[in-house]
Amino acid sequence: MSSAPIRDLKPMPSVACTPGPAAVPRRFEVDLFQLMPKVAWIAKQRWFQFAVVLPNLVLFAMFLAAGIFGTPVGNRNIIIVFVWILWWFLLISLLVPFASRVWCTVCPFPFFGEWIQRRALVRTRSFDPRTEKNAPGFAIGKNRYFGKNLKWPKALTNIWIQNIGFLTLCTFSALFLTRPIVSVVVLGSLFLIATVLHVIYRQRTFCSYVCPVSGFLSLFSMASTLEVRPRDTGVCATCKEKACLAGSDKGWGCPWLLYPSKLERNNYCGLCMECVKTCTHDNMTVKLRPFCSDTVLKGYDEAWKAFIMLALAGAYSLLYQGPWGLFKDWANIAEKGNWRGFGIYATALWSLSLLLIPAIYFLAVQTGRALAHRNESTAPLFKDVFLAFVYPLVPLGLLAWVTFSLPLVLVNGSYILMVASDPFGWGWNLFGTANIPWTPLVPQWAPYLQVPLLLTGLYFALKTGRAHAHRLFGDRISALKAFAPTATLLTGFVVFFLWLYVG
Amino acid sequence: MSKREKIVEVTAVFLTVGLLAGVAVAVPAYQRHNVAREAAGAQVVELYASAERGIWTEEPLLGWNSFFRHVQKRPIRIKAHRPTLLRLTSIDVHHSFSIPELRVRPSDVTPGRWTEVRLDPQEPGTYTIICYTVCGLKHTAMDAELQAY
Repeated sequence: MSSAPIRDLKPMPSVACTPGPAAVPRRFEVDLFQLMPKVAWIAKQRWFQFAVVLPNLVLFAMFLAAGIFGTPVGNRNIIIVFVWILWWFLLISLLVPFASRVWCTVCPFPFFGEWIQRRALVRTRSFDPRTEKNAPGFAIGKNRYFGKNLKWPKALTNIWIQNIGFLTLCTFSALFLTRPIVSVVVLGSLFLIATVLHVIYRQRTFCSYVCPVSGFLSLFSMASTLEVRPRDTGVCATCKEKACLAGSDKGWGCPWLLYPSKLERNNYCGLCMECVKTCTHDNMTVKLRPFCSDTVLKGYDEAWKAFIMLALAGAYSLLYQGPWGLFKDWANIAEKGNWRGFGIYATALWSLSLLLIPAIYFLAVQTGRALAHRNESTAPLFKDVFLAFVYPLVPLGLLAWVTFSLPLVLVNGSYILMVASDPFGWGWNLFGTANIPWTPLVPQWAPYLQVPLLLTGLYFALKTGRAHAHRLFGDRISALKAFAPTATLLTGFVVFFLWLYVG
Repeated sequence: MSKREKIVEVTAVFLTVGLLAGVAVAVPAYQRHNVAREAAGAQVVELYASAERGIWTEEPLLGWNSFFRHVQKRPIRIKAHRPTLLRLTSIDVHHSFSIPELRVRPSDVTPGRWTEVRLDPQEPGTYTIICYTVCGLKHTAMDAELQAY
């Protein structure tokens, strides 16, 4: 069997390893594991991830069964109500902002793939490369894996597949948000693709480069108040074992193919806690940090993800919360069958996400550069400025999604109680809540919550954008001139959302 | 691999397989138990109403069937002289179920919910099921034959 010696281990490209400029200096951080040693103890147990994924896997299997055998009426089927109302709201409003990619810790998609890859659910497969040259499996670092273990093509080591996948799914959202069986097809396909890719490619290749959910988690986790980082980077610099990368008898080398000791951004860290387990110096920990601590976008793929998320937040707000029935009819291809209308809707959505908003942004950034630096030779590179000024769309986009999701859960929240009692729509009444009437929960409060949320997003967008402008353009006046057109654009986006929600 | 690791690993495998298999067995078993309890000895007939097709049918219109299944109108057969529990649901819009000849008054049939109607036909014969709510373009076709034999 072939093997990859430890010295040859390199993290995949496009991960958060190269040092980036720190636009916003860190004001405070709290070592959560030091604060709560019991949580640290749990995270270090080999059974930890298995224990949190298994219940989720069972629920997921039940959701799929409900989609196949349960009622086809969306609001009475658990797969629709729990996945697209409850899970989505919790994910976007609580998990991502406050717990980064903790969803990836409990996600059931890679369960079987990883099981096949490791031939283990809890234990590790470590070996001594000097003495066990003919051990079964494929050696990476000090761990052994099964399956093909191919490297993902370098040209695809970015999140473009995730961007296009997510946009494609969202184009058909009206279909799978209302039809349980279509949700089964979407989620079941992702589960199958994840399993197959785990068998063919190394470790969490699916999660890093293919999973459409992972794409937006990666972007918005930058704003999160939680991170996995080394306690002391000096310890990592002198560490010889590099167990976080190479693995050890205590755990697997980083499944996300990162070099945890050099983590600078949350984007591609799935909080699996393997590095916490493997670190020989007990140097990896989970920290609390201020909102919007990672502020550096590293490529156009990430920038376009920000455009897509903003465009979708706007389009969905128009579709699902606006009074324009025509748009709803266009998007609702399953019931209306208006292919021409659907074509207009899909074209508008894709153009807005991939062309129109980026083009407006391009103009704003170029105008800012021209205002700040008349001399082209001394101006910062366009790409640097563009990526820096796109970053404000991370807090703004995240808060726009929270703002959009809030009324959905307020209005449809009572369905959660109903389907909890009757998950399949078969007439059960497990908790006595199956027959409660549909009761919107204080929908009149929504605008009072939405306005501050959007303004908070704008505040963080302007704050981080201004910090980037200072870093790139030096003096205050130039920074102000450079960022002014983008700031105006960001404010315009918020005004649009405010008009939509409370106008 | 130490003995402890082996035990933990085997337990994990059993837990995974056991829980998944457990759900697969427990869910339909609970449903059967639930329906049997409701029926209390009566024969049970489940009817699905589809306004799009203009039909009451015993064929479960679930999953893909709710989209693509072409359902033929067939008489619904029950045994006479035996209490019967009709469980009714709609897969699309509101309907209203009634069998005037058996004095079954109109009952709302709500999408995704189950309405239960009990009857005890004493005479063998054919009775007409009627929808009393204008449910769509095929509302006038929303009738069905109930054959008691």
